[in-house]
Amino acid sequence: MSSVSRAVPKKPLATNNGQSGQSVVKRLQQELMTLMMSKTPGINAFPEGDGNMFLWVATIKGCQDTVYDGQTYKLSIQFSTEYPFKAPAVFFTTPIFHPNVDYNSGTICLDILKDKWSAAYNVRTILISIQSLMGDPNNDSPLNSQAAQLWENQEEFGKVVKQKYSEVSGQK
Amino acid sequence: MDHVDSSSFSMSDYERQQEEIESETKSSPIVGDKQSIESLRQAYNPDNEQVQKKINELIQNYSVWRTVRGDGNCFIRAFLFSVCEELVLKKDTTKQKHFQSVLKNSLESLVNLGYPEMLLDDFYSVLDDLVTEIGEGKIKSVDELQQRFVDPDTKDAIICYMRFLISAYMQLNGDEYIPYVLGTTDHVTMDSYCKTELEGMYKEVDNIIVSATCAACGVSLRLECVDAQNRDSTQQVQTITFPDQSEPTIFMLYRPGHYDILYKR
Repeated sequence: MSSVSRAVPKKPLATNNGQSGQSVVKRLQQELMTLMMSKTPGINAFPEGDGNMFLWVATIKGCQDTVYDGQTYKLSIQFSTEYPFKAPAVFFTTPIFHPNVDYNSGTICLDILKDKWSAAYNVRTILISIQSLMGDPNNDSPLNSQAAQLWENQEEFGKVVKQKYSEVSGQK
Repeated sequence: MDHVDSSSFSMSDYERQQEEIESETKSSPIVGDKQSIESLRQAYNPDNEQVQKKINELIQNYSVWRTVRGDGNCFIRAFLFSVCEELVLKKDTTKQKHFQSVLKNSLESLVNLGYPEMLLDDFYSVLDDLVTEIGEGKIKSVDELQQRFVDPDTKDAIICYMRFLISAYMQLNGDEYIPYVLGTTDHVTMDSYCKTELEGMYKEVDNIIVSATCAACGVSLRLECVDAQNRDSTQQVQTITFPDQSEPTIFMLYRPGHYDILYKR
């Protein structure tokens, strides 16, 4: 659906310090099962599909009563061999106008993806946190200052979001 | 949960720190071999009288030390290794069973605190298996234990579980620790403190966590602190015992920001 997409590397972010890939794959398979069973509303994630468990594609639907209602955003989740001891790299592949997301790179400023990451989080909790961040940004540390300034004015903000979304999703 | 990093920790600082940690981790063993305490001298300028005096003092009580990788996990790794090493050497079934029940109770506490059992069980079971194998005599020597501590599928899981175990203990005994948290950190709740300073891997621990670790596991620890400061006392090496006044069974060398294991003469 998204006409704008970004190139992401195909290989896992292997490091010398990692575990054997096997235990990471096992954990990710377990998470995939949990996601399928839990059916969290508006959240979806699965491996990209060419047999690479380390690269997932996720979608988040904007919640009701937020400016993102009715819109679906794609994200990319890249795991290293040190997952879950290190956070995966998560970014929006559908550009999103949001105070805590860089519009061009899709980089997300979210504490649990950085210094508050712990192995008790998983793909599901990451996506729930991002979904919640969409409706409840932290305007004190914006990555998109234009969006942070405009947030107060929800009506205007909604218009910009709608316009930008229709550009990238090809919807009118 | 607050969503966004509100500290002044910018991304470039964070990434730089990560790179520094990684270059350090690659250069030293996760758990090193025992070596003579004399080798500690080589880390310092021989003209640094202050430190050399402290090392002289250490040598009177300790003959051997063992380095632990300085990746932010050093205290917890040194602590857990020392506890397990004692179990391997003394074959004390009561102590082994006690530690295993500490592990089991902590998992129950974590679940009661709302932590996801399914995720934590992955790490719990790795550590519980390790302690079981010690009890069953399958891990017979300290060399074998050292192998397990550096094994790619064990090394992170066991440290990770210890972090959650300590977190559960601190949260359940919050009244005891919150005054120190309020007094020495920016955190105003135990939950925020534990989630930010303790549960994530590679986070260096402070003295509050050192104290809580000993209390959570019922272990007495002595720290020998060697730094460049001159102390107005005949004894130059500052010694701290957790809990205070107890008879320590494990010993560590503390140099600012880093812990290694010490062995009594």
